[in-house]
Amino acid sequence: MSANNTSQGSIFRKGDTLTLKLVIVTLLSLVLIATDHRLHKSYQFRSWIESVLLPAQQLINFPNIFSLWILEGVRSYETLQEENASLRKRNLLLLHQLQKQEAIESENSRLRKLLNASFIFGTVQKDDKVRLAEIIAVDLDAFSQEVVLNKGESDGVYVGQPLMDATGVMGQIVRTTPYSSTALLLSSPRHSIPVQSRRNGLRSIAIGSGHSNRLKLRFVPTESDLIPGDTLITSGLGGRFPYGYPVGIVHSVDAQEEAHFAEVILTPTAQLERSREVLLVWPDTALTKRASPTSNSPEVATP
Amino acid sequence: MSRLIKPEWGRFTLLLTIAAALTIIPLPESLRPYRPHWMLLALFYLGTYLPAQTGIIRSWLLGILIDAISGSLLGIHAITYAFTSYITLQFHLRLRLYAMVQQMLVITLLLCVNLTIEFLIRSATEGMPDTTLFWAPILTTPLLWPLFFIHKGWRPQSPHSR
Repeated sequence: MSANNTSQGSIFRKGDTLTLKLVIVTLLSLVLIATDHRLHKSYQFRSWIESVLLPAQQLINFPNIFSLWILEGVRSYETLQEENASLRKRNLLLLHQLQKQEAIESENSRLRKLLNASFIFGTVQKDDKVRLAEIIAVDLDAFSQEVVLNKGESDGVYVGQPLMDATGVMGQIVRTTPYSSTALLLSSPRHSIPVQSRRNGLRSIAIGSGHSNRLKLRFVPTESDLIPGDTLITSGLGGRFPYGYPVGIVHSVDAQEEAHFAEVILTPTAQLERSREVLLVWPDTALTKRASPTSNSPEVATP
Repeated sequence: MSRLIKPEWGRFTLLLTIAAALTIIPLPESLRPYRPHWMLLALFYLGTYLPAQTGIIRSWLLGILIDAISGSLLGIHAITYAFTSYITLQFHLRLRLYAMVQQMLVITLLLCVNLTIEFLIRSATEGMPDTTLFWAPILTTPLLWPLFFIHKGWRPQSPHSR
């Protein structure tokens, strides 16, 4: 209760009770922060709170959806026709590219067989399943770089699932509730992703910087061959992100003579702040499953 | 004596609901760091003008809730909210007599302390983004205090005069 109503028979004066409460609460918070930071046990609690508050979040998002709906409604016939024509052209171009790609893919797999390649994670996983999800436009903490999606456990979303948009990797799912999920974006300082250069296969790890248009590469030796403009793709190491999706383009390389590591800045290819419709990816598990017995335990396999 | 005055739960819930909604409503990316700390303004108002309904434990629980939704470590917002309520409750009689500009100064000071606490905790745990925009709410938050201040006349009398 409020500090003011309790006073009558209490030994403490009003100010003392307040201070006592503050001290207790501060200690409690510090304990909570420490346990949450070390043990990550708050997951269940958060997803419970989030599923309770989902209707409120959708209510807050309603004006946004409503204005989009109105905009769609009043678009004129001519603009629609124009858009339709340009989309049809684009579709033809994409289909054309796809034909070439299929040929290249089959050639690639044939060559791999010829080489008897054991590098399984390097294969493009063709059968990744993809579903559209929408970002419920609720702003979370300005610096933690998380977004809420409108698909949840009931749609098969799981923690650790990769999230993309049409142009590249966006991040991964960190919490789920039955009907919504929260994703951590690439640009968060808490997020890192294994990458490799598309040009020469140089591997590294890209870490978020807190700005939505910058990523940093960790542990790149000063003499390594990276130049501005190189595209970095997911390397598939770690088994969480499937191989071959674009992550970022090298923006600048700062290699000091005396430093051990070069400072490499990337621009993410995905539109982290502008995308509204995103893709949830279920990676093709067949390849990873085949890989696991050989990679985990060679001793067991020999006898 | 204080029992005679009906507690104003209506105003209390309305204010906190609006502040919480404004805290998570979407803003364009470029404006996001400047988002004022609505909850601090609301808690300051409640502590100063409705102290009977405000409590440190209550503010703390509210902070835990905000932490849970916003994805920050559990306890960061809770600790700053509890601190805000402590200061306003402790000095509410004096704060009420202040002119609006003086109250704005107090809010600025409170926010500076709150952000420093948050900064220390965050840099000790998950690491801060390398940006000075973290401190941007100090510029915007006090400027919005007049929005709250004009409603103080709803009930000028203190519910528990000592």
